[in-house]
Amino acid sequence: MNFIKNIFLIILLSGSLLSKPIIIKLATVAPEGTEYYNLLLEMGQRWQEETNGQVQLRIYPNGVVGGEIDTIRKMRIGQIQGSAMSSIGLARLTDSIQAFTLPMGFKDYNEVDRVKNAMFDDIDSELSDSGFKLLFLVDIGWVYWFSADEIAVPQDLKDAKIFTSAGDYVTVELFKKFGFNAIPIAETDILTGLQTGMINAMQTVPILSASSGWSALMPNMLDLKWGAFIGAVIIDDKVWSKIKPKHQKAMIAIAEDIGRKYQKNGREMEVKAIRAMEEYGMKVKTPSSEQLEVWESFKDEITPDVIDTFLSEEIYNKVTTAIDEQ
Amino acid sequence: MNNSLLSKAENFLCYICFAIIVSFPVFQILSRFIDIFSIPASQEIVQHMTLWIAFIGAVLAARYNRLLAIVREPIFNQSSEFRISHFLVHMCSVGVVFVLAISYLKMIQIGIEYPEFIAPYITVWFAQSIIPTGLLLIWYHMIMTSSNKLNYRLLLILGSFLMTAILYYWQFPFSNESLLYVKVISVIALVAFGLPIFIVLATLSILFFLSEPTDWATNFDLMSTISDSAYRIVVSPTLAAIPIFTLAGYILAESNISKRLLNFFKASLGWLPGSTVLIVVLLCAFFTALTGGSGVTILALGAILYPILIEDGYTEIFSLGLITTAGSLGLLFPPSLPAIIYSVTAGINPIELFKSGLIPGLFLLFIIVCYGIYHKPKNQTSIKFNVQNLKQSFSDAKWEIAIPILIIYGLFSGIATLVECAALLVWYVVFVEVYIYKDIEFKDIPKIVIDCATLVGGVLIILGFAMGFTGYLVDAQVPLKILQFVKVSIDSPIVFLLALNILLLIAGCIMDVFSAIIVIVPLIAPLAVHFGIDPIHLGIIFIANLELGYITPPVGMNLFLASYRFKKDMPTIYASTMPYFFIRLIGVLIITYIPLFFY
Repeated sequence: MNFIKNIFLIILLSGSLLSKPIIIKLATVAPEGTEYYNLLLEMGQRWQEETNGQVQLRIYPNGVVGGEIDTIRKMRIGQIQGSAMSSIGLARLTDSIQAFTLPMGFKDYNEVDRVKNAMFDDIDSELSDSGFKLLFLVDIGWVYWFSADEIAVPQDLKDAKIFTSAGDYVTVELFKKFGFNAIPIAETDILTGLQTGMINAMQTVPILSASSGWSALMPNMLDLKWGAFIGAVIIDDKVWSKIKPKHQKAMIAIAEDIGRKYQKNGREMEVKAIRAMEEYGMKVKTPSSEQLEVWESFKDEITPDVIDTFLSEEIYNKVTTAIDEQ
Repeated sequence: MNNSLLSKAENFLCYICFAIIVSFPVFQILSRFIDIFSIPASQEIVQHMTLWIAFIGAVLAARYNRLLAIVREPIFNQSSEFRISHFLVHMCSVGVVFVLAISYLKMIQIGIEYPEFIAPYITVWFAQSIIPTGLLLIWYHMIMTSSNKLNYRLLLILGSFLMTAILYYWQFPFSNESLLYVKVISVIALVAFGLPIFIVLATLSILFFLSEPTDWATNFDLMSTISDSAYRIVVSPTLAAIPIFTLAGYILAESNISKRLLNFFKASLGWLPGSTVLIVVLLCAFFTALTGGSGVTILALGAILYPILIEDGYTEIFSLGLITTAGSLGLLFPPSLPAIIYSVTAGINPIELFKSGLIPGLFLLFIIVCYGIYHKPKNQTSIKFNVQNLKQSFSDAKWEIAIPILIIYGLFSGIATLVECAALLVWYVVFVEVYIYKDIEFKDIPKIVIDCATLVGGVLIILGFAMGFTGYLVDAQVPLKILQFVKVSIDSPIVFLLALNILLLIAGCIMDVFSAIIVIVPLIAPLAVHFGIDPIHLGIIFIANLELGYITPPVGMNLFLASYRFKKDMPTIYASTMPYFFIRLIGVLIITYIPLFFY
């Protein structure tokens, strides 16, 4: 009896060895417990079910394997196989993602969606050239200006001390061209920087401002959509190509569904975050129509610099045609 | 290769790196007021200079045989005698260092293929190239210092080549689980024979990483991620404060600051009964905070303070214990290195930690002073208070008394970040000691820089490879597994904190403070979040606990230093620190559980 049991066990074991599951290690800076993290978990579970356990997703949240630039390095060396990353990391892999950095480039989600559709193929093929498979592309929030003192017109912004990420010398130079006073400090210094007045304004998405405690020190938000922050899930092509085509299809379908869900929830959450901050005393400044005109002319003034720094004429033209066609 | 030429080149590079990290942050402050001082990507350059200092410093430490090990007997001592234990330690060290150096070339290659820039014209791979270069130089110095016999050296070289070839061609030689533990135990056994700490950590990381083969990365790919974790931690924004503050501390240690401060404390506090203990504790805390608890306190102050205590009628055992203990007090005060390292690892701002650490830190000083006063010798005569003396000693020491005030003002007023404060302090200290007190001549500074780099390199390379090991723990999702285990088995924060106290005590006895922080914080942080413990309070518990680790037998660092400094055997030192150990343990428990200390 024991003998038969052993044989049975051996067969079982060797069977599982033959069809060794593909483990995808996916890194993200989104913390555990957030909507984004939960949806990624759901995606992993559904992938596993749909592929009969052939594909397993292991998520490394909260930036434990490093920031997005570190993650890209680890993906290239093969320690990490996938990532849910934002425009910051994506910009290292595809130029077209910079389309969304255009200051005051988008008025509403409709325009963002149109540009997303227009740029999707370019972003997809550029990522593929960099060695990654794009699974979904979503917007994760509007970028607004938050500040200690109210900002109503561009001159207020020029008088402010604006946080810029210490490693991002390109943005520092660009801001200087705008006439901004850019203060490059590390992310960990933001809170004390705000407390001590070393910085007093920054551009960020409402969800981050609400969850990080910055909004208490910067109780003013300028209701002017400065830019769109984009996120995407990408997988290393080496790994992706090992997955059976029928599984690939199912996985993409699931990923797209997760992307749609996130898109819907994320936009609702942003509204909620702004409302919550307002309850805690944040003032939302809506520019008057005269002030908007000033912003418009400021936009025309700075857009060429942005194109020079981050975009090409070609990408810029694609964006404008996508927005203009009704 | 011309040895002295190589040494000169290493030293020269070291001077340049230090010149950059103490001057760029000052320009950074100025640039906030006047734009002409702005250097593009200044902070990023300073962060990468820290990486260079870490590796060049480690090279110097290897050259002078001062790589930190748990056992203090120098193992690379060019002896001609052959001992099998030494040979194993040598072989393991040079082999691992060589393999790490070669494997990192893959990262460099990727960096060249996809260039990233830290500053205009400076690529990331160029900055990273110090890692394989430094490791190869360490390898070279280790071989040169291992023995004076050519054959022995050649054997080590061949051995390193062989190890590298095996790992390159045979993809997964470590994937057997049960054998893995045999290997881990044998590595830990080598610790007893003097294997340097950073090699222990690197070897463990290699063994564990290679025990889990993956289809997407070769052995060399996985090993390159170990050094890459080292890169990631050492270039964190705040870490640059470590070499800079240590340099300030080293310059002060070379001056007569301790005598001047001692005079001032005697004149101002000497009339109090039992004041000697108070003075010793204050001086030690001041020095420890400033020099980062690297043991400099005992080495620099021991000779001055010990005779004073004996003269005052305290027993030998009491005095030994007090100085050994006091050498680790003050780690909660700015700018202590463990506090900075904790902040880097936990992703919090060090200034917040220092603010909250002030009261618990003072409390720990207070209980030691109380114990000292309780043990006051009966026939002690106290000095009469004399205004003239106080005035005189104050005016002698005023520039140095200003130092802690300047540090605290600089940090908490927000004129500068931690790194910028550190750089300002260096200039201040150089100015005061060279031009005002004239204790140090300007030509002495290069030697101090080299000494400082040797220590800092030894510490930072441990941090780096501790992070390499943490990289494995994260990769294997160990923090997540611990969290799941704790969630079902512990349900009260009090029990959790108690378990944490015990864990940290054990860690404190067997690990050095720096790697303990790097390895344990990522494991504990998610648990603390789960139990609703504030990361800053957690930091204070961590540091207070690990502070205790410096005097926990058998391998607390201060115990060794005291034994070395006062030429006493270890049992005497153990006995002398025992009462202090228990008092401080109670102190730590009070800080952990009584809410007064964290609200």
